[in-house]
Amino acid sequence: MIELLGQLGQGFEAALTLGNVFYCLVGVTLGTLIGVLPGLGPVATIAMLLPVTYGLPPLSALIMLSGIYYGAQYGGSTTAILVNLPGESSSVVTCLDGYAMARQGRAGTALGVAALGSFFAGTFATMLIAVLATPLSEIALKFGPAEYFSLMVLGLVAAVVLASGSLLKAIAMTLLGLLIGIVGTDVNSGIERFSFGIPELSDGFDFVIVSMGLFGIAEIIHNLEKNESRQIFTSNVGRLWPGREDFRRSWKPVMRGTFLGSILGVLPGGGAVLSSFASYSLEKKLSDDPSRFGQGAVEGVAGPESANNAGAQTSFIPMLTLGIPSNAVMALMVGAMMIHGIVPGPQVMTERPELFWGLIASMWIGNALLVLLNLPLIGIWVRLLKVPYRLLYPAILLFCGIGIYSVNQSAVDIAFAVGFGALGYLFIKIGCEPAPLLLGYVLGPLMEENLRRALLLARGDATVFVSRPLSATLLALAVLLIVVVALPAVRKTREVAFQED
Amino acid sequence: MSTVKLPRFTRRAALIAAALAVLTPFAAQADNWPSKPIKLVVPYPPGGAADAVGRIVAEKLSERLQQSVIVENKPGAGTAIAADYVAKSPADGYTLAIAPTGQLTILPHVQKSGRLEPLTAFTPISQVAYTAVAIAAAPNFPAATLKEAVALAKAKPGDVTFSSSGSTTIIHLAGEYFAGEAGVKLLHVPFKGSAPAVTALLGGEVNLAFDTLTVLAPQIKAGKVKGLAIAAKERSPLLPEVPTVAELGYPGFEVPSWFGLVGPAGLPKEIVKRLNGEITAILAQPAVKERLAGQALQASPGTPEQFAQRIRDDYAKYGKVVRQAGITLE
Repeated sequence: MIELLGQLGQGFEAALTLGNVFYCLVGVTLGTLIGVLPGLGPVATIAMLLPVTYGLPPLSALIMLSGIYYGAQYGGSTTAILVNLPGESSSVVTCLDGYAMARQGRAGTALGVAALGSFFAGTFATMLIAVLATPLSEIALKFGPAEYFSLMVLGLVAAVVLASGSLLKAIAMTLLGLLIGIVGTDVNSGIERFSFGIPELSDGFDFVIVSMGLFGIAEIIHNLEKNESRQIFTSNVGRLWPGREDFRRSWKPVMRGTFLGSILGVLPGGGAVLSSFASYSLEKKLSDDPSRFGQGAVEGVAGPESANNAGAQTSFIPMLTLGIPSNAVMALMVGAMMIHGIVPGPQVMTERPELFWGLIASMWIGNALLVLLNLPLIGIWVRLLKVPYRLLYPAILLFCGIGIYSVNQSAVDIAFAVGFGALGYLFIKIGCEPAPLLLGYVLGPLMEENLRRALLLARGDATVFVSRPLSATLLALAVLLIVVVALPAVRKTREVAFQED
Repeated sequence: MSTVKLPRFTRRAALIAAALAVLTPFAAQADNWPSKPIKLVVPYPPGGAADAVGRIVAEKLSERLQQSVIVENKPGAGTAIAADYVAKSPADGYTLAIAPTGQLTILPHVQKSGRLEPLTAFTPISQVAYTAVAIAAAPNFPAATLKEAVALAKAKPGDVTFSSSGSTTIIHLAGEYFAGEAGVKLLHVPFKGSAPAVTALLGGEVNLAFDTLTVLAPQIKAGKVKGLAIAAKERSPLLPEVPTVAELGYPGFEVPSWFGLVGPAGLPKEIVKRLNGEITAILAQPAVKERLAGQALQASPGTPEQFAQRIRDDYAKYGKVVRQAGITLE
């Protein structure tokens, strides 16, 4: 304990210099901005800023780059809540209730809860990294292909719980998502599927393309056809601060979301994606009135937002302790370290402790700065809703276009997104929710990849999924969830929800 | 028509033509090149060795050419999208590319359609840097040396697994190449990129992993995995205690993963010469060597002819591996 305090002290000493606090502020401010701009993600931003960091000391460079990353997670929820645009897979579920709250004139409350929940989650996850980084990294190694497959099964079962409407439609949308996810090169054989000889399809559809189309563009088309809703939406911005009732409803989901996110975030390859979905499903299951979900339930914002921010922090663990990047942003961070001659890997912690602990300390400073930065900004963001649609929509579409293009420097991708926009409009018309589709699309390919890899390694022996304890536990949880959904009491509330639809 | 008059006339015509060409903005002109920013295509997303090489080259070339050189990441289809894009760009010296080994010497063997033969679709300018492929074993794998690993694989054919960063990558080919040379059968387990492939090795899900020193050296150094051998001519200064594959009884076994600078086919000779000279000068700078070393890369300058020969040799080598191992995308 004393040792830990000493190390943290050393970290704060390194991170609290005037220069490093400045770079931290620059990072989180930039992150918030690109998070708010739909489509522009941290990957493109960090890639652009990488050359700038050559001249900085390594710690300052890492502090700034990681600030951009978790700042973007904060900012991403703003667009999800205000205009129903998930910039990252983790903000998809924030759209469900966050946007519903905004439509009821409670955008300020949703933003406030998201910011405070994220701050708590960020603080907790940072502590977790400080205390348990090494043992947690062992979890990541315990997850073999069989465990990943079972985790994805659990995630998909949870997806069905996600939908607020018809169970049949939710399953149909999840399956459609799985099919869209199949497009691209099969990892195991290297063969292209459903790419129709189009090179741009050989890696499948990028997440940004699918989500911008299904959520953003579809929502804009849909809103254009109804004039009256605009009045309600813009004249009634609502209070900016969560009320006592909101706090009462939110604090437990925040704790649970933080816990889920912290654990799942450690898993490289799909863990972080699952955390916000898992938190949403959990809150819906635990709620005394699940039908409120999708209609603007504050728990549906508090839980997933905390989960995704906690996951964003703990996803540093595999990179810091094992030298293994768990996502594209971490790969860039590894690149930034290598440029400075630091070889990421297990030895960083012992050879460059000031770097390791300084970065951790900076995460806490960054989270504090984010709250200070974001709470006053809520008023400004909410006022954005008063911008007339004729100005707001072209601007959103423009940023979406830039964002989609920046992923692969490909104009074809923008055409794909427009196609998904048309599809999304059709879904709104026939009352199908895009969230289960998106989850199926994200998890499906991961599930298949790991299923086949697990079977390859087990020489075709399918019992591997139940003979490995961790995998068996996850599958048992999935079965339990199905049983719970099938129980009469729950089915009743489902029917009620369906009728309300 | 006298024989004296003709040369004078043609000389004048040539002078006029040259003057016109200088004044014509659309003509590809080697004389005033580069007169506008140059695009340097990198076939992978930001992060990773190819991107790092691209960024170092772009930064240093900008300084020396007094003209911006902009990195454009065009990922997708295992470098095929970038390859196609570069091959179809005008050969005016304003579109250059960082080409990894696989794009030039493996892709043409496995592609079904749109295959680009390396020496007819591109102009080789210079090799830039290389690193060796290494072989590592999982901590829970009983073999501690390459010899023991081969013995295990011989005892139980197809039982020993190796992870790679993907099907038909240089890493995959390295594994198949070694299996062929050693006369064993290894089970290939492909992953999406190096990070999950190495995680699987650390966790003991697979027995062996082939990957570049960039990826494996830190893990071997930290003692998290067992370094069995390096597929290079000589031992690496990064891991002086790890023997080469050749030392262990497979003479000539070498799998360098290199990055070269290429342009579209038919790049003007003067531009190739100028660029090759600049790259050679850049790679001689200690600061550049140091930054490459950060990625476990070694500078490897050479003439365009040497680079072309390298491509020809590796193209033939991997063509043979692809056929022998029966790797197809059908």
